[in-house]
Amino acid sequence: MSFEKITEKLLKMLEETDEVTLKDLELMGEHLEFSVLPGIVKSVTQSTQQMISQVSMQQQLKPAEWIETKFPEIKNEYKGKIEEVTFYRNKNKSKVVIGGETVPPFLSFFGEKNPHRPVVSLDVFDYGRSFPKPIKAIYKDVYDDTVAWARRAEKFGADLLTFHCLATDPLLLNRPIKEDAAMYEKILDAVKIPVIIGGSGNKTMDPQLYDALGKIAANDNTRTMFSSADKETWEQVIPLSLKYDQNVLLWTQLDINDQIKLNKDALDAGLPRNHTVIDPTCATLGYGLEYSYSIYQRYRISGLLGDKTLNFPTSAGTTNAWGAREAWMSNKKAPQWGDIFKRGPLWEVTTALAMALCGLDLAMMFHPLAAQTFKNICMDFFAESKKVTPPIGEWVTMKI
Amino acid sequence: MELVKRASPLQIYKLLDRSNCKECGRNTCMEFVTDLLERRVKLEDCPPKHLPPKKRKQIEELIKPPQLPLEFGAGKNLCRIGGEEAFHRHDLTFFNPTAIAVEVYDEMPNLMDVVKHLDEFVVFRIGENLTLDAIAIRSSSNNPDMYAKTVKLVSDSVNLPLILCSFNPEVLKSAAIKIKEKKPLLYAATKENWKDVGKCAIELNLPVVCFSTDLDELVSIAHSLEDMGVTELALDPGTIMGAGYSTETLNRIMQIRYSSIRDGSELTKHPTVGVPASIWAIDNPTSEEELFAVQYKEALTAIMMLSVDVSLVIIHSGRTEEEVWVPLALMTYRQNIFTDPRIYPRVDAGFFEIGSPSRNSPIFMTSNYRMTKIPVEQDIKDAHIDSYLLVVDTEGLGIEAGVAGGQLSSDKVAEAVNDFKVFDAVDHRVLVIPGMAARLSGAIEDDANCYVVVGPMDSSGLQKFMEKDWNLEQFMKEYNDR
Ligand code: SF4
Repeated sequence: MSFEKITEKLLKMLEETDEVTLKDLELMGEHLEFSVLPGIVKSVTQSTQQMISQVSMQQQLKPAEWIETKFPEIKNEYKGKIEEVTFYRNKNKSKVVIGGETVPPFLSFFGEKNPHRPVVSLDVFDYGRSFPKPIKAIYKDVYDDTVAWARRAEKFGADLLTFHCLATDPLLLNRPIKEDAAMYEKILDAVKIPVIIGGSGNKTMDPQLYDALGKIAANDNTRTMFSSADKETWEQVIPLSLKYDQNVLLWTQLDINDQIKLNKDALDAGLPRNHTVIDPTCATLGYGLEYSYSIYQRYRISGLLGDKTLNFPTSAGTTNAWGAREAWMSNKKAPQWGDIFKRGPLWEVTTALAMALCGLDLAMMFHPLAAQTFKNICMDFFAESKKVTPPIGEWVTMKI
Repeated sequence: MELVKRASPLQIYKLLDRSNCKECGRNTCMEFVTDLLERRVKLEDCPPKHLPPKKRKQIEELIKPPQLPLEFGAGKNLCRIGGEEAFHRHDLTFFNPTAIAVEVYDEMPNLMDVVKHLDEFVVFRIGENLTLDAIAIRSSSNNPDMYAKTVKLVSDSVNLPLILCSFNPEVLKSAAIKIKEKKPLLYAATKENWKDVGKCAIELNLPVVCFSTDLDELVSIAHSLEDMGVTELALDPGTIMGAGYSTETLNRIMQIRYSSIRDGSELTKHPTVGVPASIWAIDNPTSEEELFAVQYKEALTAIMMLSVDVSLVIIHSGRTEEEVWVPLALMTYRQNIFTDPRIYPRVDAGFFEIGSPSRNSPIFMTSNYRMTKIPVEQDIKDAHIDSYLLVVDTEGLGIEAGVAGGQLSSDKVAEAVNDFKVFDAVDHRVLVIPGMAARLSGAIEDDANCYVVVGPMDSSGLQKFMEKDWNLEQFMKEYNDR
């Protein structure tokens, strides 16, 4: 093809095009010269200009200059304070204080630090049931020896214990309350830490249970907690807590308005603010944890911003985590999820840590490893800050 | 809490031509606005003839989130992070789930097997396939040729987007050049190397992570890079956990968060990065037990970061089948946190057919808690049991919680049985209740006039239950004998 023919063709093509992109083109030489026919100059120059500008951009970047910048200041808008609630044994021989926060969990950059780390209560059940394997491995031999169970849980480093009196439910064992009361007395003799009194959930039996066990606690000069009072039982439970000077856990189920109402009712009935702990229900990782996440967070933030109906310490039953398949299902049934002795406790700590980052003061836990891990994490957060920075950048070149 | 102002629907509506032409696939312009604010539709979906560039720009400004989004990867394999506008999840919703990347290194003996595993890793949970989002490749060799070769090899054999990790700009560039069309994320620019890393980012048009444990220094790096012309940045304020460090780490993450999302500061408007993997550079496990402890520490560090909506986390554990429990917990947690908080835990009560039930099919009962009903339904479907599912109104609580709190009682079950005319659908009066509700069985039999069979504690056991325990004739005989 002659040169004229090519240009003719090119011109024709260009008439129908707005833009020409030259692909895979390498330009070499110090001096670029484009000689083209007038008709295509317009189109070609456009693309060349673009090309040249790209070339020059690469050759002469804007000179890099360090711009010293200060991190923006962050204002503290939290003016409220969470109430403090105290648990003790024998007139303060052992004492646990929760609450008292003035800033969101674990933060210190506002210039204030929260006074108490979240504490851990380990579960003690009044009769053995079919618990998941990782739990069984730890407590199986003491399923029928509640006192030994309590002693063991204390050794694991729990701050508190919770004695769950499930057997008193008429629909379960229908065991007379006085048997659980006798057990409770023995547990108090066996351990040094406060032991929370856990009901079975039966609306008629629970107040009777708190009456019997509350009396034992009072005689022991112990302030612990009734776990729990809900919208059906608070009218009976609050007077009992006043009678024996015990804290009360106000329990609702993932409903903000219910909790506000219950708190108000309980306070109106005379429950002192510093005896009030709330439990809006802890759902488990994988099965609704997000609802608890948002509810616990809303409560804590409202409390910190000054809402006096919600500024109470919170409790969460992370034992619920063991209801998740990923926590209880055996290796044989669920090989795709990895070892149950790892995933099980991790499921529970994850649930606890998630709540703690939203605003949790008391974690009622089941697996000792989960409890210890959670407690250690919280203690790490509450340790004095270290100013030296370890060489974390080295992870980039590590050979593992 | 004072939050960065969100554009009001009306503000945006006024800028549209309000023709309701439906070209965007929505019925009205107002519907388009609602979906735009929920990020269910793109602004470009309203064509230029209806939305001139000037107005488009105005709307763009209005809906720009306080934290910029960042994308790396290419084509179908994109990883999109940041772009958040809710400080707390309950303020609105979190939009872009934290990306989870697992790291590997160029001298790793079984590198190709590991990256293949990561690329194909998937967990099916509650109707969703959960996968990893990226692979981070470090240069432990610090050798540009070796690194470039390895990265190219990996890039050619996996779909996941890549993060290139080295503090040596020469090493970083050697690999970045080879796979620039796949738009890898560069990690990281520091006070020492920022000029060269920045240059590489501009030449190849790639996003960069800035790294420093000093916040002033961190924003200085970002600011300097921006001034140079780097447009896509992310911030890594360093991950150190343990006594005396954890609070500082969380402090730094949260300071960035308050500054960007609550206060709308330009200096911190970038997505954030956390590196739980860096724990392994400090804690060197020497026994099985220590190894386990470090794995826990790493997993929980990542959990902390997911909790506060860090945009991208890079983890070490999870490279093998045995370590699956680490990504499993993280991806499950992420699935939880990143669901829309405006979706209520309560689903409709009712009576549902599963498969094609006959008049002798079983009737299973469950609660109207979303996270109970959906998995139960899924399990029955997976087990191919033609049956009916009675969903009782438990005020949106699970079985165990409902039984404990009284929201699931024999009255409630009887009410549902009557309301939904449950036994009209079958020729029997047998109701299978969840194992967790066993204590109610007697009362339900009385109140709902039926024969109650206590099913498994968990619906995953339903298949076995049907094979071993389901015996309709026997049940009805016992019912009639009473
Ligand atoms: S395409 Fe634009 S103008 Fe048409 S209905 Fe959608 S938003 Fe309205």
